[in-house]
Amino acid sequence: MSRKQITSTATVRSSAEPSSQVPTDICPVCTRVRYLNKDMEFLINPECYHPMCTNCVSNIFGKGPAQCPYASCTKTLRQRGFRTPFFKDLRVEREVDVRRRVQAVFNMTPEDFVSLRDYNDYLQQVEDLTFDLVNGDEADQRNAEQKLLAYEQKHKEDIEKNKKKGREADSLRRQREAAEAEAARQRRLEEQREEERARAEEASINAEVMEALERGEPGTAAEIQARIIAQKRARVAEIAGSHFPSLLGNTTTAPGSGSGSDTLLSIRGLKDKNKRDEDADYYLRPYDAFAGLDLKPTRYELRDRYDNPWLEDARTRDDHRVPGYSAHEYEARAMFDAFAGLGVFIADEKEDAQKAVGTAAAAEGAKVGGKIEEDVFA
Amino acid sequence: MAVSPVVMHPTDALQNPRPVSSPLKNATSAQASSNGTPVVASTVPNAATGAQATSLDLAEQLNEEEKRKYVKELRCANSRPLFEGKKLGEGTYANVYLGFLKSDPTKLVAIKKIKIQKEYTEGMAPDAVREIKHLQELSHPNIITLHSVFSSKNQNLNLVLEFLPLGDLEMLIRDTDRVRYGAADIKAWMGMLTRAVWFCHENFVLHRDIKPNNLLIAADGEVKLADFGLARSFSDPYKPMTANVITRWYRPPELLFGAKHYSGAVDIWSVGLVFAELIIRTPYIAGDTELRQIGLICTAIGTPTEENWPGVTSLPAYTTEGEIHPVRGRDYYMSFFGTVGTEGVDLLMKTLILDPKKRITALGMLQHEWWNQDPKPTRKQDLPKKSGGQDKVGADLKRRPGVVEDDKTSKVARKLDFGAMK
Repeated sequence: MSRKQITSTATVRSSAEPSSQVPTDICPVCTRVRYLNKDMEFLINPECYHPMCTNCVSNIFGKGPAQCPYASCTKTLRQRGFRTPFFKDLRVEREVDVRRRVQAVFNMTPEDFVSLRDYNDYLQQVEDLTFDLVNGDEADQRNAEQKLLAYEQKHKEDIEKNKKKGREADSLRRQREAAEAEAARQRRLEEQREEERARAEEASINAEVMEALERGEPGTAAEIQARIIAQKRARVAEIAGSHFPSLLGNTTTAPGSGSGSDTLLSIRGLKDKNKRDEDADYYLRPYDAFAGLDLKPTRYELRDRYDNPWLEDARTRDDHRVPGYSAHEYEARAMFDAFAGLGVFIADEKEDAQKAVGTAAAAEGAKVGGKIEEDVFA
Repeated sequence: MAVSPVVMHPTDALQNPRPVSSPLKNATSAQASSNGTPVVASTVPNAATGAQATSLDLAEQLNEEEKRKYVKELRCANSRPLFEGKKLGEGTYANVYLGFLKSDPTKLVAIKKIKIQKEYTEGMAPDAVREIKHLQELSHPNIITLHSVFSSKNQNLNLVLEFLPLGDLEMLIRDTDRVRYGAADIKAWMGMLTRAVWFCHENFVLHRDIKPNNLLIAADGEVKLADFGLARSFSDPYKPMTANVITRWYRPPELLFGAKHYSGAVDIWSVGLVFAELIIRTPYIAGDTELRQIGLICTAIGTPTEENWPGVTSLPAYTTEGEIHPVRGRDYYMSFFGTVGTEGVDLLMKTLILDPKKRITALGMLQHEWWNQDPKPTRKQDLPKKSGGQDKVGADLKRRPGVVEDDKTSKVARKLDFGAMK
């Protein structure tokens, strides 16, 4: 991003820059000293960013709006506008405020643009404007301010919409992060538990060997020990899988198989990612309960009621009316039947049928390739 | 999908009244394998097709053609099975086998072979007729697809259906230990179910057997309404329908009271109970007899009376036992089903209104505010699947402890967010 010449800004720091630091010990207005007031605190008002202590604020502005006590500052301030500055450097404080304001107005996302280039151009424009607001001279500032207000006025609706979208995306992100953290925690717990079990299993080796010896099992002591260790190893592997660095030295599993499954895993992950990309904006779109289907009749308009003496009984008789028999459903069906087939062309039907039957993904998913082919060549 | 959607009309291919079977039928049954299934595989010589053309009438030819498209079992010359049609399930009136498309063996289908029933030796079993009649008309992502129908030897009916490998909703509901799901998942499932029912009703079909184990799950997570064995189209006025439909637990009060003329509202009641069951993970109203079912409805929802359902006492089998329970209010539902939020409970209450005239319609359900509220329904591919069990566990164990899979977004540097500070 090309900043405008920094050199020029240094010379034109104007009214907004009387003191750039929040004082630490002495209030610049009442000259009270921290040594005597341990809990002295400094506040600023984003109108002019002149710091003063809480006492001054309540003394000067407690009875209503008043002029800033700084000499040469003509801003009228209200007590409500005062707050504790977040940054010690008030220039930064002000810049952040400005950026926050600009950000709230220019809140478009890359999705709103045709290309990345357009988005970057837009970002550049916004940054230029921000820079003018933060570091420009008075004319620049006024100019930028006007532009900002004009834009805000003009695009009120879009801004509101984007804001909502941003909030939704935000809350989704937060939810996902929470879910991920929870999943990780669960997994950690689970693994800890497994590890404990595996260790307990290992710890009981000696006891079991002794028992086996006592029982007088066949074989030498060394053989028995070897056998029991082998059993244990299998059990530990079962409990803890491969991630647990067993004390028994699980060297029997071929390293090849491990690495193979690893690559397989990452490949699967990749696929998932692609899939996710395809409709990444699913959660941003509103949910369509009808899934894009509109079954309203196109060739006729269904009225609420068709007068037909034959239907009167169906509307009024208790055995139809009470259990909810709907003459209107019958009317709808009669109308449908009357118009069925009109405007249907076999060629269109065939095309529709070819793409519509079932869902393609469901059919894809039901495929199994490997098994059958394997058998064919067996 | 490469499968031709041509579906034989049952009357063409299946109700073949001719008592003498054609020579071809004998020919095929001569080749039948030991377990009685005819071999429909590459072993049938091509020359035979030419010969058949002369001996078969048109309907039989079409039937043969259709039958050849699918393979249930494959044996090579020494009769060693190459691919055995796994039996996916056995019901009282049909067996379901796994099959595949001959032209593309990776495309799996489920072949539902209707058993010959003693009561219906003449013609076809009515449930099969119902299933074929309605499924061939309905094409919707949330309704199981009927690819084809053909008859094998002995006039056995075979329905070629979409293969849905991930079980049904009931499995997920019951598997409380291993399957966890939340409000967003329930909303996604309900959305798919409601769309299916809406589509049926818009096409004037009553399903009449909606329950969790008739809601099958496709490989991509899509829920599909299946088993149209009790379905029928909306009745004409003055034509009675049977009241003895819908599995008892999901049967609405008007059917329990023996009504002969009813509307789509009966399905909506079932949908409401599936909804309730998804939330509490146990059937909400599970009576062991019809009387008991009525009693449970009275306590769980409210006693049907002339006040809340004008004319109800005139229904043929109207009975209520014991004291009269007032209709349960919102607070009662909130205490049981609060996890889906106030709007969700509102929708549930509207599906469980005693008077079918006041009950919400499928269209009304889809227009309900609930769908637009947070949380947004889960995407179908992210929905919980049956027993994420071993695969999931295996994958979990291989991962390093305490690390989560990298999502794409976590790698993107976050923009400094000045707006959120303060």
